[in-house]
Amino acid sequence: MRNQQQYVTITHYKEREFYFLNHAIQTHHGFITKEMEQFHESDKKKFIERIRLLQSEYPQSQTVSVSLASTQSVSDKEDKNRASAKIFENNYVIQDSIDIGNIPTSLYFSPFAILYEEYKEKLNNKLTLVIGLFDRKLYIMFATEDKIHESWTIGTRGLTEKQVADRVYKSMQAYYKISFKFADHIEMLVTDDSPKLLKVLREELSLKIILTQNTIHNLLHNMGGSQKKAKSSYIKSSLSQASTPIDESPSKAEASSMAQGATAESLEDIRLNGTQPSSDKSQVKSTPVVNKGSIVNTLLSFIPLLFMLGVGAFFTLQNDKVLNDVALKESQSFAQTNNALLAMTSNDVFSSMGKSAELKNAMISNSNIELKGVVWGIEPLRNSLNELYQDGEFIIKPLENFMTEFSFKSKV
Amino acid sequence: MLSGLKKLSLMSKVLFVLSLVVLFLWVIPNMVNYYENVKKYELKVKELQQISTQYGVAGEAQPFSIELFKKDTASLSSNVVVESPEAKVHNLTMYIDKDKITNFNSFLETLSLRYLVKIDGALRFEEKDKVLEVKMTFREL
Repeated sequence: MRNQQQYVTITHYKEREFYFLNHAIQTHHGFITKEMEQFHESDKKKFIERIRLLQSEYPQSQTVSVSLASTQSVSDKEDKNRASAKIFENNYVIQDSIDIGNIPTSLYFSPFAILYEEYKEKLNNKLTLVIGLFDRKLYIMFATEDKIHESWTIGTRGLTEKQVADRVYKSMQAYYKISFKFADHIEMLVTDDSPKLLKVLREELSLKIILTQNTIHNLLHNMGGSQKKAKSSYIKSSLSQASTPIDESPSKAEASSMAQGATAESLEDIRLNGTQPSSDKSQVKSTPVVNKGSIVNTLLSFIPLLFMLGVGAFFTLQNDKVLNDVALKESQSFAQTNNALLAMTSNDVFSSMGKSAELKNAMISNSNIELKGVVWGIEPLRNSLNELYQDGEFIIKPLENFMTEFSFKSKV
Repeated sequence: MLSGLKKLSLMSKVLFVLSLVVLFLWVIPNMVNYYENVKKYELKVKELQQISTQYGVAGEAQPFSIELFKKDTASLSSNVVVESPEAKVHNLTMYIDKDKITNFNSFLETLSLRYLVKIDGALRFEEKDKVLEVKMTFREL
């Protein structure tokens, strides 16, 4: 009889290969939890039977669970094509679909909704980074009192604490890039003992992190214990039939109303789209925003290298150009010297003719000369040429018209 | 600064180190080389300017042009024949009065200060009716 009057929250969730089940009696002064039960996934049938038994034992009950999908995010618009739950005002938590695997569930919460309920009293106009650790996934949101600005989900499975801290830092960097704001402080809610992770986070982020620790069951009992909080469930059918707020109605009549809601609730009422949420595959991934951030970071890291390559290429091209200019000036200088020598030789040759001879043919270069002409004063010409070119070959040849031809060859 | 570097991803760190390697092994040596060559070029230009001043040639040497050359040598020869058997090579035949040979030699001295050419091979003179036929080959620099 007593059971008939009590409002009970039955909570369950799956972590790795185990189902964890608990129930608590809701009272005016909070809830009183009972012993936690654990089932291996091979005993799923037994687990469901146990829930059914509890439901029949406590007809005024809600069966509460948590979505541990990694693809959840907070948006300011409701998405009718996806599973969504209103957290407050214009903030909705959204995930692709709900698949609770035929396990009786009447309230199904997102960790983001739980985080908001846990910290809403602490939020103010300063930006707060709220981190929740649920089943080795970090649910992160940047929030102020009036809005959840951005959210991320970061998997920690297989990562060291330092790598997890690094990802949290990257999320902060990514958020800073889109909003130019850093969180003023960090609140963290962990659902299991992770002293090392907290220590590393504190060290790596160099920020004060205020820690709260609670079990998933307690958090779910808390969510299921108040209609106001229960409104942020993905599953809405049972709530619509609950005529009176839970936290104001532990009386029999009101509890009965809640019970009707719970009984009337069936899995058909739950929004299902048939697709398997990626969270169940246990491979945790960070959300696309984080990926975008890391891609942007990597792309930005290319800038110094590209800059260096650009500067190097510029100087290489300029250097080639200057080398060509230098080569041109050097050859011009060389040509000038050559021409000056040639002009000097030519000048010497014509001067040496004087009035003693007349030049008819001449080949003048900077290596040798060959001259041919008519001579009147042989000795003055010979002396004059020998003075210029000591090793020259001077030949005279009498012509028929009583004139004398001369030829001269020499190296210069 | 160091904590900032520590927080960079492995890829970013590798790219950062690669940037430094490129800077020290390629960019800086190229820059040093470039500035050394610029100095060398400026020195050569200065030298040629000094020589031009000595010979009273104004302005920088121009690329060779037949029209310009004929115009510049109009006072020496009214008959200049130019043949270009191949690109950048010009065979010239000039007819000069014998008494202008000194002027011709002076012009020859300043040829490469006026035009970007050098005389390829020898000068060939032949007297024909008191006029000297001068043959020479110019090769553009």
